Amino acid sequence: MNESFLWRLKYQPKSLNEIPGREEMIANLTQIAATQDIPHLLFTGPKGYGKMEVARLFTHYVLGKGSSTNCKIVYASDPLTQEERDETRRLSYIPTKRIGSTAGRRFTWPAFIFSRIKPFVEIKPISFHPIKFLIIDDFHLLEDQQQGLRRLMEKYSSYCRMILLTDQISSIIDPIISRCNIIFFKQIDFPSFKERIEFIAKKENLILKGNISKILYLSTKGSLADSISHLQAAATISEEIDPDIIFRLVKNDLREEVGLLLRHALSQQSNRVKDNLSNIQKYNRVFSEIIDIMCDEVFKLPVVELIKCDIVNLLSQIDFRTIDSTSQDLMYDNLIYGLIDLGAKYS
Amino acid sequence: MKKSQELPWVEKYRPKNTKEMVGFSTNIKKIKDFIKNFEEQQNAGRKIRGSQKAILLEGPPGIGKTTVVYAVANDLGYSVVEMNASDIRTENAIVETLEESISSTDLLSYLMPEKLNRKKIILIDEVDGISGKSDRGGVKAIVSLIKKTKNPIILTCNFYDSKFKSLYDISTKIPCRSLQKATISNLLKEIAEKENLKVDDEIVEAIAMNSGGDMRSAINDLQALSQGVFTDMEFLDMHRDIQEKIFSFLQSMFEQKTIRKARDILSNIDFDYKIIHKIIHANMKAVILDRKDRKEIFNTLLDADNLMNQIMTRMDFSLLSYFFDLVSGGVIVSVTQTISKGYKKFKMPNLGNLRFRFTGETLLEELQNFFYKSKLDIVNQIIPQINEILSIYDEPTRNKRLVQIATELDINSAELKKFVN
Ligand SMILES: Nc1ncnc2c1ncn2[C@@H]1O[C@H](COP(=O)(O)OP(=O)(O)O)[C@@H](O)[C@H]1O
Ligand SMILES: [Mg+2]
Repeated sequence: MNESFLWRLKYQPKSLNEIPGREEMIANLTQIAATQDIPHLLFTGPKGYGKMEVARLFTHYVLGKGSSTNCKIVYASDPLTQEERDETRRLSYIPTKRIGSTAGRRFTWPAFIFSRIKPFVEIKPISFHPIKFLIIDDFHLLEDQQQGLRRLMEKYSSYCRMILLTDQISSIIDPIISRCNIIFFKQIDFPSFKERIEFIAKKENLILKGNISKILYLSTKGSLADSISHLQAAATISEEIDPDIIFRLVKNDLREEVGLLLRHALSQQSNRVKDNLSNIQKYNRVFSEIIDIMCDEVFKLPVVELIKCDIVNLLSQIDFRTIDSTSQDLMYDNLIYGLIDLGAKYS
Repeated sequence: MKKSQELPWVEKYRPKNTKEMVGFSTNIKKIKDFIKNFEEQQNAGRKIRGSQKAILLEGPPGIGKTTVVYAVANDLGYSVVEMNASDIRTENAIVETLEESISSTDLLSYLMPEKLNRKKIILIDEVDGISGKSDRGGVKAIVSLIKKTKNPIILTCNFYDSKFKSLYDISTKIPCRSLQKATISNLLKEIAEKENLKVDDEIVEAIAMNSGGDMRSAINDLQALSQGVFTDMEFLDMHRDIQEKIFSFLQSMFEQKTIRKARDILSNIDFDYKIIHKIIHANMKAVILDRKDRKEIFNTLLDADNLMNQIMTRMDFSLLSYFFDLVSGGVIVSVTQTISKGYKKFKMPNLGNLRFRFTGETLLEELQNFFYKSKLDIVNQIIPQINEILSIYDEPTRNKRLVQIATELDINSAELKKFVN
């Protein structure tokens, strides 16, 4: 393949060893790969930390050439298509012609597992490979369907390994956790990040002015892919990359919206809050990430320190509550009620 | 011509006069009487009592409250000066808006002589829109407007709220009930016929059922269906049998007075118990009107949610009985004020990946092979990034680049273009 026009793809690592700033983890993983029996893996860490990249390239590393047929990635946040739905529905009905107490009854299958996962894991690996991999992104979104997976993990464990990715480990059920090796993802360290950015800048003949790497690192939380994309956008404007341009590109709409939500809730403008909320939910982030951002935003509020303390205290309580929650909607409401009450107290 | 250029059907089929309206007849008469009475009194030079200067139409959304005002005005040869309650802050602001709109209609009357000297009805729509403390001035402003008015005033609102007590005291309330399911499905069928839309009776019934008496949402659903947009329809279609069960569960649940009865109701349901608290949460706003009660229930639901998480992550079903207690007894004991009875639009809680779908699924799937992101992330993150990179170029270069990207990724460039613009 020719070099890609999009730098995001052009500079995508092609093998496990090319991933910057993950040396320790990779050493760990190659060790795991060398063992006879590779365990199921659970990768946990915030969005954008490169869980999928590591998972994908790890399967390449293990499977070599067979990786395209013997590895499948499913995204738990992708809605089921109409066909998949129909299929599940059709099969969920046991015809009246059948004998037995279940005849004529309808069963609710865990639709996602049924249509996306089962067909893959039921088939043995192709072309003499001993194992195959299933990568599930945003695993926590499966909620109680996780139970269904637990059986599959055991049943097909002789040849199928799963790599589960999640940014919300508290929603993963214990039986799954106990069946997996857990790998925690940290933000990649700044020196590695900087080295990579500067490497790319050199390759593309860019001049980085000011502290571009730092700005990118902070605003993308160390996500190289996103940073590289911003860099390309900046490069189309000028070969000299100016901090101002980068600042404009990384302007974070989600952050802004969260800040607005905070202000509107505290000043009890419930109609606006509703809009902010629906905008925020479009980003599909886990609730605790929103709380994280909000904590930052609190310090930008034009109020006295004491009130800020109160707000942060409230946020911490709400965050704590999230650990044991099954419903983001409830959590969002909890947050808003809390903020509105607090706002009323001080107004 | 794109379909979206059409008028939304709710506007296209908004009744122009009271004859075209369905199911509102007694209220229409009351409103007409009110207007006529106002005119008579005024003509006779008599002083009009407060409660005869303004009426308040109270009822759920989408049942024709706004429509009926315009329709009556049309029947009686009035014109309507509409003010949105959420824009009202101070008395001055009201007077300004009024003067502005009245003088502009005067201007209009020069151009259209038949509108000359038309009398005016003042409509203050959706009084509920006045919210929060800082807006208290708005209520006061309306009250004093009513006291001084030379024109009949009609207010609309969804629910009673103690914030508006002074408004209630000074105006005559006309409760408007939500529309019957049959009324809605009949009108839907009429519209479908006019639009040459073939749709199963069963689907029409389902839409009518789901609307909970809200004509607006029913018409919107029908239009969405005609455009191939599926929102709640898939859900409807999939769970139509469960739908009714959940619905009647909610209805009877809140009406119980004792914990025991509430618990009984719960033990009779046969849908997924894991989401009961979510269902109650999604629907309680429509039923529980009192804010304090809502808050109480909400806290109970939070506890229930917490418990359910424990049950699910630890597989400890011995806790389930406490969960049931919380979502039945725990909820109903929190209800201290009267609740809103009658037919409601049933809302399904947000259950993650069940509900929406993307346009251009295939393209997204192809992009996934390169970017390894969920479809949602591709739409929200990757596509904007591509946009960002291309935005600097002029149109022809941009197109060239797009084609380049498409060839490289082996995808249809026309499809990609649809996304990127
Ligand atoms: N009683 C009715 N008869 C016919 N159409 C109605 C009726 N009620 C509502 N509609 C339809 O629903 C739409 C919204 O009605 P609207 O009067 O704005 O509701 P509300 O003000 O009560 O929220 C109208 O445009 C109309 O198409
Ligand atoms: Mg209205």
